Amino acid sequence: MSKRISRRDFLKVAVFVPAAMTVPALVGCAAPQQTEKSSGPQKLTLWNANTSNTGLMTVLKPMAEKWAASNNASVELTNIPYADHETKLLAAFSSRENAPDVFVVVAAYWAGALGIADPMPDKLAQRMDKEIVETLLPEYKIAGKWYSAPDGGTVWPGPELVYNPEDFQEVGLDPAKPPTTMSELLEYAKKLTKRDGSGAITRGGFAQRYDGALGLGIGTKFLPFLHSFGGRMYDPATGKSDGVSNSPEAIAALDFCTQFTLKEKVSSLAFGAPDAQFGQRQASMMFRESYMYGWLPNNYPKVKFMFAPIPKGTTDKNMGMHGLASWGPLVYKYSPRRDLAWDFLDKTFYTTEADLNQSMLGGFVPAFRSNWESKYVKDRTDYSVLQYSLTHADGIVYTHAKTNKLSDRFSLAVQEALLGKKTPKDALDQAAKDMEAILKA
Amino acid sequence: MRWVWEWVRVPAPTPPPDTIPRGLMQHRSARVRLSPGRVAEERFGWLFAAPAILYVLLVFVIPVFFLVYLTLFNWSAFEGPGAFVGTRVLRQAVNDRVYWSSLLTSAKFVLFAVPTTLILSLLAATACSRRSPLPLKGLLRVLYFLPVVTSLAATAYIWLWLFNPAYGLFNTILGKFGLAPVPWLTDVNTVLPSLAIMFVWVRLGFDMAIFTAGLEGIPEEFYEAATIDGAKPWQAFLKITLPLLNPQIVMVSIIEVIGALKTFDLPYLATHGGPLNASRTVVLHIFDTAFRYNELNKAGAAALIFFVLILVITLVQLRLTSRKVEY
Amino acid sequence: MASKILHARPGDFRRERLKPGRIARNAGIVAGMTILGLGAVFMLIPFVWTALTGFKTFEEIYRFPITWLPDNIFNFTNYGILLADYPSLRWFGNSVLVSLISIVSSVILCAISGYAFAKLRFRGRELAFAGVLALLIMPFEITFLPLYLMMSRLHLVNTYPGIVGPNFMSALGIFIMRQFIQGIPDDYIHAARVDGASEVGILWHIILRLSGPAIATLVVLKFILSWNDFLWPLVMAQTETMMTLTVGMQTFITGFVIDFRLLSAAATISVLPMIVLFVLAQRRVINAMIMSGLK
Repeated sequence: MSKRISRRDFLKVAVFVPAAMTVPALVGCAAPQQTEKSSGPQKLTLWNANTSNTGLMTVLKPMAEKWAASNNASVELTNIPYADHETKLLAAFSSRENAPDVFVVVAAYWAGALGIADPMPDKLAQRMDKEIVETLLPEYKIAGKWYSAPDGGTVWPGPELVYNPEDFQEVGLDPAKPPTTMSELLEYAKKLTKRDGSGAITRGGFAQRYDGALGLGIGTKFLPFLHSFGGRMYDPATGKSDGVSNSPEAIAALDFCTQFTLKEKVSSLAFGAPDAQFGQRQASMMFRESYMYGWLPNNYPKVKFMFAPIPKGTTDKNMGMHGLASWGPLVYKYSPRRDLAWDFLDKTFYTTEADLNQSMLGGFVPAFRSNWESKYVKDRTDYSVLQYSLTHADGIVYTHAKTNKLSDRFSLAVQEALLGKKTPKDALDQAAKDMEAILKA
Repeated sequence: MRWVWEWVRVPAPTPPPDTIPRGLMQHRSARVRLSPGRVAEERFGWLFAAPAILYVLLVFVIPVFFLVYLTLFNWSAFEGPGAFVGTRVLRQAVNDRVYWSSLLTSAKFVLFAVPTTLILSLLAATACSRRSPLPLKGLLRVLYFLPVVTSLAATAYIWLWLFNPAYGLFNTILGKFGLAPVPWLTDVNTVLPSLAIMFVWVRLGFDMAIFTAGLEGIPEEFYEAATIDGAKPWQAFLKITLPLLNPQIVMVSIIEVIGALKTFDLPYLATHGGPLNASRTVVLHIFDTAFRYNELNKAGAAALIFFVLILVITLVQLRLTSRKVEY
Repeated sequence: MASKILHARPGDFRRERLKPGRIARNAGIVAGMTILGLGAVFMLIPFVWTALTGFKTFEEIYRFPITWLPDNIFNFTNYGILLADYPSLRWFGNSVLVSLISIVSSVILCAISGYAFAKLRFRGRELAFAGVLALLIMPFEITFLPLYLMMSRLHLVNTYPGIVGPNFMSALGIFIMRQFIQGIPDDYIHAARVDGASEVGILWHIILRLSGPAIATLVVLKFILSWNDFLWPLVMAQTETMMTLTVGMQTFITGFVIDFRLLSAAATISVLPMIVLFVLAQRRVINAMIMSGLK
């Protein structure tokens, strides 16, 4: 064999082996799911990351099928794991073709902060203006444009005080008179705490959320205190953190919280999540959102509970969800089927019946004004609290692009103070410096 | 396809593979005429290794180039590539305090997890080896290997349960013995050791199997000679077993150090970096930077730096520990 | 042992038992067994707990002080919900299919390339193998995004070949096969060559026949890695029917609360096949790992 022939033949072989390996790959291409050809019915994909909203699929699937039948299209509804939805969505968006057309996420973050959502068409937007409860506007209407509306599984209007009337009676407190100010909250908690012989808490007066994991957990749980003292995590209007995150109000709020865990020791940092604590009778009071109305009877049927507004600090304004928990469907702004997607949402998600049915299934609060007149809402035991929240909302929404990073850093400071590793002032001062750097970067 | 095989399978008269003295062949620059059999070997080598080479290209080389691309251009997941920013992002990553503290956290984790795993698996392997008088060795080997086959995604939450300071099993047991409860995963000082315990649980069976393999290879005569000389069991262990197991020990320690440095699932599922970032290991930090904070270019830079570091560490380990084992 | 019994004299055994060294040895055995036994219990606790939790109700899970056993051991409601409300059988099937494909593909390709790296001399061999080793070091969480983009260009997202993806081969597999094949004496191969066997023939008749243990090891490792793989199937599966069991399980971790009942039930289902397979084949598997002589 002469060298010349061998080189040519060698090249042939060098191509043959990789080609042989891509044959299975090409076979795979012939496999199902080729959707891009526009002949034939269009396919809409919806990804739901709000897996806590168990009613979404139950309610939406039949409606979606009806809509699909009358529109010569098909709709695919998929639940994606909440725990990694950011990864999955980011990967999908980076390869445009595989991105979903509609995705149910925290609207304020993905639409406002990340800017990946399509604004609503005008007609639908006008309908939203008329039909959605006003208090929700700052969460879903960003910079004057509507991007989304609540998906019927969102935890607005924000946290409420949930307390156990039996425990109140046990220690001589009147269940009809829950604490109305923050200092009262502390006093009540002191009375309600039960300890065992060694001084360890067996039943906390108040369940202070301690979450070693995602920042959003404890951030939201500190925010009620923060906002009732007039503080802010950062200033969304000016994008500043120095002076805001460590303002005297913020320090006062954090200081107050440390009373619960460190000084008076009425909150146990050893027990689990507040809702589990409350259900297990390991805590008598907690801040949790309105969906407890449905969740507690489902999971802890024996526990009695009542609702009250968040106690007043230096202001009586209530926090809403502050853009950190405002779930709703968004439309992908580069989707070739945007108009179809909006039509779908218009006819299915954004109808009063979808809204009401989802809420009823999970114990959530509906978003459409007309649904507030329904028996379901009027019969809720926290109806008066909801009304209070509606009229006392402070309307602040955190929509900076780096909200995740900022809230993680802020939560770190909160945790440090709650655990006694740093004084509130030190923790917040350092957090403010770091957050300022994040905001500037 | 016949012509392929014809070409590759150069028909050789039956000489032994080497018709040329070895010395000449070792000079790469020497243009020697290779025997037909040798040529066939070379071509078959390329053919057979092609899948592996392709794999390395696809799964390693291309992603590394992509990481460099991410870093040099402001690549956003949503909008695609941005402007050319040169080494700005790389310098930012190097100056990031949180990144270096995450490297420190990873290093601490390695210190907790790897020696523990090594020592415990070595002891367990010895205890379950052929020479050991203990009964039920086969069963024990199986039981210890079980955690290796499970998915961390499934068991991590169970571990959270076991480690719960208030009602977890471990603290309940400690309480029964009158000992104080340990904060496990919820305290900055105990979180890394707790994660190390989980690491040991997952990896022990695997290392134990490797060590058992090595132990089987040590000839019985050595131990018999030692007994005749009056050596005690632990002396035999130190002087015979350990030195002869050196290849296995080296291999296991390299694998475990790499695995512990790369560890992602454990801190991600169990603590997500908490409490107070005490368990924020490097890969977790890179992952969060990319997907939670949407800063893919910074994550790419951090990943490149990390890869270089790990490469250096592994090479140093290899240099320091390669000793020829003579029987 | 047998000769001891055959040639015994009266009193031999009693003298044996009472020798001082013997007592210490027995004490050592008991101590050793206790420690190992505790270790084995430690290994088993998470499994047992998961399995038991699969039968508990929500309230029982969070009960304090903890109760080990569920109130009703035959409470299959969690499994019922799993089967009825979620496509868990489909998830299970997907996991099986994807694992099988990646195992078969890995074994074939890793054996072939392992032989090349171990026995065949070719230019660039060391460089290529260094590449394999470097691949072992690189964490997958860092490299998966460009792979995903490549898969997306090939329109392989949400297809079985796509979900198998980078698992069609394994760097660790190449490493293991190479180490083992290096241990096969060269004389066999030279003899075969002298007899006129082609390289493919050598591969088939000699290498594969002798690599039984290494292949068994590879199968076990690949099965574990593939079955428990989470990140890749997560980004590759667009619809619930294409998710593997590990990914599907994660949907039980919601933003508000972790549904331990369903998670434990699914985790038990996920772990069961491997445990069963393992228990049935354990002798062979562990001996294979031992014999594969990862030296």
